[in-house]
Amino acid sequence: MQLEDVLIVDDSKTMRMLVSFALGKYWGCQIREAANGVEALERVSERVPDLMVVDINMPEMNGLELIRTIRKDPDKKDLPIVVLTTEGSDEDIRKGMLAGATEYLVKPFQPQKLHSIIDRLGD
Amino acid sequence: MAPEEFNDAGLVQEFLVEADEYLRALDDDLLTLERVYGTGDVPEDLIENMFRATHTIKGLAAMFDFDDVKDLSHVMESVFQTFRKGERAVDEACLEVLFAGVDALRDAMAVVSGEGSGESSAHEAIDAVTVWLEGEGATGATGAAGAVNAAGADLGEYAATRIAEAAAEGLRAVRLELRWGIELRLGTLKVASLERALGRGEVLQIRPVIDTLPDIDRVDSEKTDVTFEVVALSDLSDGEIGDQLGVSASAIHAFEMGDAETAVCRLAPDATAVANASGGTQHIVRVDIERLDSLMDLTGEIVTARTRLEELLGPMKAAHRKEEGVQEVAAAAKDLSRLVDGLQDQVMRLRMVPVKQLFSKFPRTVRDLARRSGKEIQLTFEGEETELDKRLIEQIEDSLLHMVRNACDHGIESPEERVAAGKPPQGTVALAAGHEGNHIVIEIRDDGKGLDVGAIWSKAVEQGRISEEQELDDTLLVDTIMNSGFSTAETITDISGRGVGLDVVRKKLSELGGTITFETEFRAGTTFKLRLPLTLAIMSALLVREADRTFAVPIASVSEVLRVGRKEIRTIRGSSVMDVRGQALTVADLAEVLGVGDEASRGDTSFVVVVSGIGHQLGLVVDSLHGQQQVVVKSLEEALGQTDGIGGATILGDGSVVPIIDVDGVVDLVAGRSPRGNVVGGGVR
Repeated sequence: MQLEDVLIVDDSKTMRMLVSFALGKYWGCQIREAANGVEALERVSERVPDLMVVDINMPEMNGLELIRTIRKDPDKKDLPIVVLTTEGSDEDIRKGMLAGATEYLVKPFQPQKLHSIIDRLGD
Repeated sequence: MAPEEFNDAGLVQEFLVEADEYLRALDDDLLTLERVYGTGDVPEDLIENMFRATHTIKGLAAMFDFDDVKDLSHVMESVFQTFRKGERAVDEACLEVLFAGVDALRDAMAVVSGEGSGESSAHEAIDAVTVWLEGEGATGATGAAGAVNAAGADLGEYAATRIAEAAAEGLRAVRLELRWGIELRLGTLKVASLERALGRGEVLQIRPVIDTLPDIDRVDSEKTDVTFEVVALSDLSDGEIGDQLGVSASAIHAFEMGDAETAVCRLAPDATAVANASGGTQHIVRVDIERLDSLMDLTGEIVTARTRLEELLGPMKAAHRKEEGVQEVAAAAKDLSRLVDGLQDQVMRLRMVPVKQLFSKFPRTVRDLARRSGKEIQLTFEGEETELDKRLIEQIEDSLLHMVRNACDHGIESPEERVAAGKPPQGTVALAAGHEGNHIVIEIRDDGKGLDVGAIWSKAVEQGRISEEQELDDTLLVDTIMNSGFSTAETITDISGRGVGLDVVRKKLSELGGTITFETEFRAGTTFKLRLPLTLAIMSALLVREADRTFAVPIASVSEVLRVGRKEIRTIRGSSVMDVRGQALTVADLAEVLGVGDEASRGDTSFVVVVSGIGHQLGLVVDSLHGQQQVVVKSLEEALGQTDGIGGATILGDGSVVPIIDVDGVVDLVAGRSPRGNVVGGGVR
């Protein structure tokens, strides 16, 4: 998958750095960051990214609300959104997918997992 | 297994910094919780913040494989989860285990960073938290998650919560039974299309109806149909939903909440908070202080080069005043000068952080001290926004902690004593910060019993520090209580008074170019005042020449400069003294004190730089003065080790390295040589 612009949404700066780091393979792409759903919506309104990596538990607006809000816009119904969160129970995964996530990855994650998800998104 | 690539030093460091911020916030929030939980009015965002803090730490620790941190933050998160769900109420026992948990997390983090002792207390803390979680009052799976509605659907926590909120949003809950082809894999389940059929609503949960599931060995993904029960919110009628989905309205049931509604905890996000926060995002870049240091170094070198340029331009301007080019160069140099000042100012500001960062570490300490000693102590802050150099904050933390402990332990009395003395039972320790010219002043005030000068005198006599004939004037009082090993604490308590007096604090401040003074009133309280330079990186210094060498004396310590004739300095009982306005001032040759030369080369007149150390004044005899300059302070310790009387070095515009005098060190050197009682002319400033 051709990635030029990735938006990482997580309230932890370290986690954003870790994801950036994990995306090293796609280093050519621009990486933008947001610390919560509200900021993420601002970033998306500036420019729609090729991929979003979204945490669930965040202040201001959590990841589920963020994804739901994004999916309400018909233009963004196919925007790839990978949920990346510590919540890994079936119930949590279901909630994430119901909200409209494209893929679900549970922390701690392996960079290769994220890569293969991105590769799969291109299929 | 977390990937090894993540164990990159930079990322781990980032984790430690971020986690530390969360731990501080946790401490603050726990203190708040402790204050308010009895009132029954616990703000939701308080619990939410603590939950998120432990949750984030857990997630990050898992990435780096820091198991102790991960496991401990996990059980602590579970405690906050029980509060969120309303399963348990906050009680004293849980506050204790949570406070201990934060401490243990901090320890575990120190182990990770290599600063710890290697012994993590995490396991004990995990056990303690677990005991609380499993203890009396634990209800297990009750509340929202266990709620069963009249229509028979088991509700998940999220669904239950949303349903409780639905009415307020003009939505109603519905239950639908739908048959789908086996697009069971969630990734391909088109929930979005289902949601569109619900109008303004959302799908809350989807579960297969168990009876309709095929036997596992007979699953044929092409043929098998499964019935799903969907719980959703909608603003549409049953008929409208049915039309949208192409199913009969009879498949759609109004949803009865029954008792579930009341069991749902309050999870609703505060809509106004979201709205407010969206406008207030701050753009902050976190920078490694090492980088700021090198920026500061470079700026310092520019300052030095600028000074050199000015030095060179001075005579040129005088000699070639009329030449056009010279004037232009002078004007350009002046512009450059202004810009360099601006740059220096901005770079300094980068390193400035609010003193709040430092103060915020103490409420927890004071709370613990108060509890252990059975005292009631409130800690108040003034001037928390006052900014000072980040490095300075790091350097004085221990000193301030020591003083706060002293105030709690020795200053504040027990509630009974206070009441007997006509004071309110609760004592107050106040931390105040503010500016005084180019300095920052931090005060530690307590309304406790004040210093018992009589007791200090007796103790000092007993220890042979002073003779029985000597009165304890202010100078001696300062000297005595700040001396190593002096403590009047009758029993060595766990809290302070381990015989480590204020001397450590005094030494530290001296190293930093600061001073400490105090005022005390018996039975009314004590105020310690720390006076510090705004920054450690640049200081104003008086350049002096002595024995053919140049030295820099920090301006902050210079009280006056006198020009004296050789004969004005007399020797009394082995000490050199001179008369200054009727007071005897101890003087010493700078070169001699530092052991770098003798006074043989000195002419008839010389200069005496009067400097103030702790409680003492001293006249430093030097050959000549070379003006005042802003100098960039470089540490000598790494290169040369600690040298008595020398606090650091600076590089002048011409490239020469000049030692910076450590005034307190020099005063000590001189005092160590002279009988103590002979050092006169000091005073409590």
